[in-house]
Amino acid sequence: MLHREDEEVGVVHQTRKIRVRAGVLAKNYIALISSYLREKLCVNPSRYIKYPLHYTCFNDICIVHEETGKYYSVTLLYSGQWIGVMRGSGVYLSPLLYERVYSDNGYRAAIVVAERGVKNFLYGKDILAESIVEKYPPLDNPVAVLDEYDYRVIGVAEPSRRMGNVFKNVYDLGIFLRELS
Amino acid sequence: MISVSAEAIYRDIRVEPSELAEKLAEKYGYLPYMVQRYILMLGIAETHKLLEAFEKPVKPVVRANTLLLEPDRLASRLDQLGFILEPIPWDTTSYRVVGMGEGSPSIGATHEYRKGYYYVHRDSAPLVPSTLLVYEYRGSVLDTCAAPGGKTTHIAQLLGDKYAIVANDLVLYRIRALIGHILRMRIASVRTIWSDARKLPRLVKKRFGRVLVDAPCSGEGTIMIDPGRKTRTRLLDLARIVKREIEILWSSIEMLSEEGVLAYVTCSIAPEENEYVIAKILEQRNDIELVDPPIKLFNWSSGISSFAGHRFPREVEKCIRIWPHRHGMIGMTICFIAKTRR
Ligand SMILES: C[S@@+](CC[C@H](N)C(=O)[O-])C[C@H]1O[C@@H](n2cnc3c(N)ncnc32)[C@H](O)[C@@H]1O
Repeated sequence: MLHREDEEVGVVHQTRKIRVRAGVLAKNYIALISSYLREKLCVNPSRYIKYPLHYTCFNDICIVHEETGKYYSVTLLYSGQWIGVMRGSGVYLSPLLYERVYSDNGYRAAIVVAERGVKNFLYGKDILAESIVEKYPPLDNPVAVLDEYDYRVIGVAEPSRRMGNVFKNVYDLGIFLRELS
Repeated sequence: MISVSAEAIYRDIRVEPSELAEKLAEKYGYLPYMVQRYILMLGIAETHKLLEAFEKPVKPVVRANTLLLEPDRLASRLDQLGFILEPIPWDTTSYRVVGMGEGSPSIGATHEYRKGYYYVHRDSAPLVPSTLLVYEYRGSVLDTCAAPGGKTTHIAQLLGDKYAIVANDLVLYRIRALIGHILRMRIASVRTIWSDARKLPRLVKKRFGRVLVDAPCSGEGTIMIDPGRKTRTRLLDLARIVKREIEILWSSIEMLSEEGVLAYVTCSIAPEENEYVIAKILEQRNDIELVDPPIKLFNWSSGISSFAGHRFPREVEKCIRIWPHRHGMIGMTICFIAKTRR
């Protein structure tokens, strides 16, 4: 049976197999996205995102996008552009958004990765220094991971001070097989 | 809302298996009533061909995501990865995967798949309904039973991701997969909603120029993929499925705007789930008519207007039937219904 409860900023729906939460993205997350766009990618956030933003979580994976709530009187679970992914206490841009920014302004906060590194990354692994073939600073923050083959963004990684020159996998496009299928 | 009872449907659709049907059913492992209906629809010689066709696997089909890349670029990349592709003559965006090299990843696990460059269909037949439904159409579309999104993403592509598509489904874990495909393929025009399609007319005020009903059916066209279907659905189960199909179709027609067109689709060859459902709806409505598909993609078969003592309205012949043994695809039935002025 369905179970439904109203939360502070969202709605929770639960079936036996799956728990969904959806709602308006909290202000602190919006601030994180805006400051990343402004300070790291050097673009005007309002050119790329319309506020308010919304999120939908299926169990542990949370997607940020443009609208939830109701479509007339029906539960609306997802709508519009894919803006980002929430992981832990952070929120990270989607490949779509990175690519829109890059096509307007060129690459920043990005690493380009060779084939072997791409393969490992798409299986959820981290990126070792030897797999990186190009770097676009700033790199002391979350970076877009680009596939050397076609320069498409395949996920996001974060530099790990603890692990030397490794970029830790934040999320990668393997989520479609691992968490969203 | 239409009111139908599964028991009445059951009485209506009951058939007595002949001795021959019993024998063939035993040989191929089917419930006898199923084979009896094939004999009634097709005759004995074609029934053998159908049963043989259901024994042969179909090969999957990839549809290039034309929002992200040209189909021939996809084809050459998959070729580099060791896949052997055959073009689909009537759909230039799609290819059948007829082979793969040793060590190739599965077609649903390549990097290109994760990047959203293509969708994997079980066969080419699922490309037909969307292609025809939005042929020369520009406007909003409702997909009432949308998950996991094969047809929704196809429609989004055909409309250039420019017109609003409302994708509904009842089952949450299937909606999750639908959203996964929308994200993966970078589609922005889809709104995903969660409801019983039968409640939509009451819950959603908007009406649509195009509605797709890819009904939750018995799957009696996909036995080559799901052999369990040979014995899973007893006639009473089928009656219950038919009842739900009638109800969903009725409500979906309510979602059409005046002169809008609806595609009613099942991956089933059962006349009970198709022409019978349409006939039941036609009996009770004077604001719809069946219409011909806007173009002919290949030499498909027509709907059947009589079966096991039932005489359906002649217009059901406008429906499309795709038969495994005639067309080399999964079985599918597609009917187009237009809303007329009252
Ligand atoms: C044949 S599948 C749809 C396949 C989909 N159109 C595609 O092309 O990928 C039928 C869908 O109907 C959904 N369904 C079942 N009962 C429903 C109902 N009452 N209202 C809406 N959807 C329903 C199922 O969850 C299933 O996803």
